[in-house]
Amino acid sequence: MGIGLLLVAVAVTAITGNEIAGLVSASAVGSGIQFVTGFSLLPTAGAFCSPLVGLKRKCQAPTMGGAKRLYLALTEDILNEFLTYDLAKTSGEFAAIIPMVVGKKWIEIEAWYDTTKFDTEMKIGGGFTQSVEFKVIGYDKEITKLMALLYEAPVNVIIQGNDDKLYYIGQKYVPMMFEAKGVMPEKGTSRKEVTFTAKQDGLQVPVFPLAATATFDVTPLAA
Amino acid sequence: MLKFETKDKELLIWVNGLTKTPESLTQEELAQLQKSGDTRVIDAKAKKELTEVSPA
Repeated sequence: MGIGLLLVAVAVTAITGNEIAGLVSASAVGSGIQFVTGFSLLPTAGAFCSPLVGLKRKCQAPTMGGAKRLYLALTEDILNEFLTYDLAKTSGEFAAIIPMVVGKKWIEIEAWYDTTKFDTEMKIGGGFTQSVEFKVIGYDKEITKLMALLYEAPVNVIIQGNDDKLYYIGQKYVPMMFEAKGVMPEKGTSRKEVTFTAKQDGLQVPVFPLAATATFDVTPLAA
Repeated sequence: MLKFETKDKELLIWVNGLTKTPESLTQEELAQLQKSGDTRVIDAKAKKELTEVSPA
């Protein structure tokens, strides 16, 4: 239909020698067709956004916070950007094996109990933000080594919540970078501890749930 | 019969809330891994038949 209107405009312009007359005639023919048939060249309502999907209230399912396990991987060891906005919009979870470079695995961090937390935000025009925090208690050579290894190291994070569900934090190309603060208190009433925090904005997705069918390789913790 | 093939002696696999060694995976878990796209899970019977019919 668009080509037909273009031909009308060209023909009228050629006959009359007036470009304005050509454009007006094409516009008039288009309006006439729309009036008679109801067909429009322009998209109608809902063409610019994905249709919304309703959300059903969920009762009697544990939704408590807290986390039991924490895994990290270098972003360079992740094979590709498998978490996308399209996946978030359609499935809302990832349900397959996490694609890793051959031979690369996730490592586990045994954070102290009830210290791991994470959150996510949605910003208009700014995508999503994600953040994660965990604590390890004491201050020794292993913690020093972890701090040094995580210094300016882009990583992705998987957390297993106390609800046993898995949550993925970060993206391959928008990774998390940890900062750490070690506290050596002045009195015996407080404990030595190191808090690791990472916050990232401009992500394409919020914190991403992993389905029960998601799997990944893990390096065993040294005894 | 599904089988997990790897040369990695220190591999743990996170599956259904647990980290398991390849040897301790059940047939159901192996089927789940295969369904989720893990190419290291192979059908031992099909592989054996393929080996038998292939020319030497």
